[in-house]
Amino acid sequence: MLDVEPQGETLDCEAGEPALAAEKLSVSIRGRLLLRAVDLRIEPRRVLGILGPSGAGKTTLLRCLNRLSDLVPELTVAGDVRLHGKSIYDRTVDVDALRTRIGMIFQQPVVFPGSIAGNVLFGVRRTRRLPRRAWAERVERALREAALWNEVKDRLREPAARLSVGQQQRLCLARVLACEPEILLLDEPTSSLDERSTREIEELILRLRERHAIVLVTHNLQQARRVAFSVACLGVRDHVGELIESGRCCDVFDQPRTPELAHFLSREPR
Amino acid sequence: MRKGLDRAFTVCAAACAAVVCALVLGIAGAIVWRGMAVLDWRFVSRLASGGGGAGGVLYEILGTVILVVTALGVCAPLAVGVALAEAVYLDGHENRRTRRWLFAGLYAANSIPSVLLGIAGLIVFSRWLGWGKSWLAGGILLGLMILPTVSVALIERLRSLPRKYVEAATGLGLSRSQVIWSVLLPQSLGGLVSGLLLGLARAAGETAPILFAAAVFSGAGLPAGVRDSPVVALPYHIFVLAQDSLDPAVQDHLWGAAAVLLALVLALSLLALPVRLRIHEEAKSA
Repeated sequence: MLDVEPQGETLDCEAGEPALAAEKLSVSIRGRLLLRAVDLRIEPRRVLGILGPSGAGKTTLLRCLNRLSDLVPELTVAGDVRLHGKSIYDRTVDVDALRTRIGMIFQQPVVFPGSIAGNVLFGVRRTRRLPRRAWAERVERALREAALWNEVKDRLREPAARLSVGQQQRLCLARVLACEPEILLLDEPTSSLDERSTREIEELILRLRERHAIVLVTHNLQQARRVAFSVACLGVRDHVGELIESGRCCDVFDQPRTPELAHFLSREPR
Repeated sequence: MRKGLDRAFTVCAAACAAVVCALVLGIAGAIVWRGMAVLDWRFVSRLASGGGGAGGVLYEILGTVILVVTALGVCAPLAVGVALAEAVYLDGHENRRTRRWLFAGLYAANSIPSVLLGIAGLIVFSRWLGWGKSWLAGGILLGLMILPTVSVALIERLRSLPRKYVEAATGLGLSRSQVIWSVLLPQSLGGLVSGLLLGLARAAGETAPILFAAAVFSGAGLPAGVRDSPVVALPYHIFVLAQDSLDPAVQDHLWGAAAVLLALVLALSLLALPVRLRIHEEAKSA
């Protein structure tokens, strides 16, 4: 069990200015609608869990939040996503700079060929023009933040591919944290991990929420209960993903208002 | 029945492999065996004499290397550009027709007979540009000749790279050019080097493209400029000797030159081997 109390039951639900907000966000590919009019609010220093069955568009939604969806030219995004009130889909937005502010972790850890230290510095070296004398400090800080420093401090020059899958996922997190993002998008970061590594990542998320707004896509209801302050549940209606319910974890899980969510919750282990 | 069929296929496959090996070893063995009479250090370190039919083949080796290195310089950047255009800039559903045309163009270019390239070189470089016979024209023609092969090898390599690397790098805020320099090119370098070395091994043995625009049989040293600066090259040297000479001493010279060319091509292929093995290992571990 985690030694940190579930967030949903300990924090109040004061709604301030959202760090990131999706407004009537719809996504389609070659004319076929994938997501319909999703509204989301991501508060600073809070964890928002995104739940839903496979094919509901959770990952697509997440990728629209830092415009990684641009990598698929066939995707069309309507509606808006606002970072501190400013549209990230505005023509004048520097998309590369935007992605350094909104970091992303994928389902499977993606380590680049090269050393552990090289992986940590991979993004920040290129996007921030970090001077060489600052590299060691940045590597240590990012690895400490990702709770990996003690395990790798004596083998920073070793290939990153030699780490376990759980360590690789934390290395990916360290790589993102090295770029000092404001918001973290986590796409099922524990789906390929064992129980122990999952617990480590969850503890990490709880620590990271002190300084970051976090969006966590997960299939695991217990995980959402443990780490998320609020949840957004996606469902499929007429073959299109849609936000069917959102709110504080305890409210949504204990008193689902829609039959789809009740059905989804009844099928998932709680 | 099934076992019998299985055995028959195995025997057929083994026989085909044996025929190929026998052909390669037979030809290589015959060339080396007949060239043994002249093959020694002096043969590769001396200049030709007796009008090109005697002495050594030093300038022919250097001329071939000059042509091959020039072809490398011409082909590598163009192949990288074509491959990046196909795999990066023309990515996506809406560009599928352009990609199809590009591929069709590459395959069509690959099937152009090399003698036509030689004639094109004669018209463009020798006549229009007034270069006469020039090593640079030869290098450019050889580079263009192997461009489709190298481009396709590099495109295939780029296409086989897991998309997750591009997504992870882009997600960190790297621009498209940074993703190209930091992710795509380093990881596809194996394909480029392997394709280039195989292409250059082919270019080193080609006669037709350099026939009219770059090579002479004798009388050329190291080029001092571009205009009217032909080179002597091993394939052209062998081609002329094989056509014209009935003298047994010259025949030995011919076989010796052929053995040196074979060694040069083999060396280029062997250079590509570690890179190809590394790619194979990477593919297995992925």
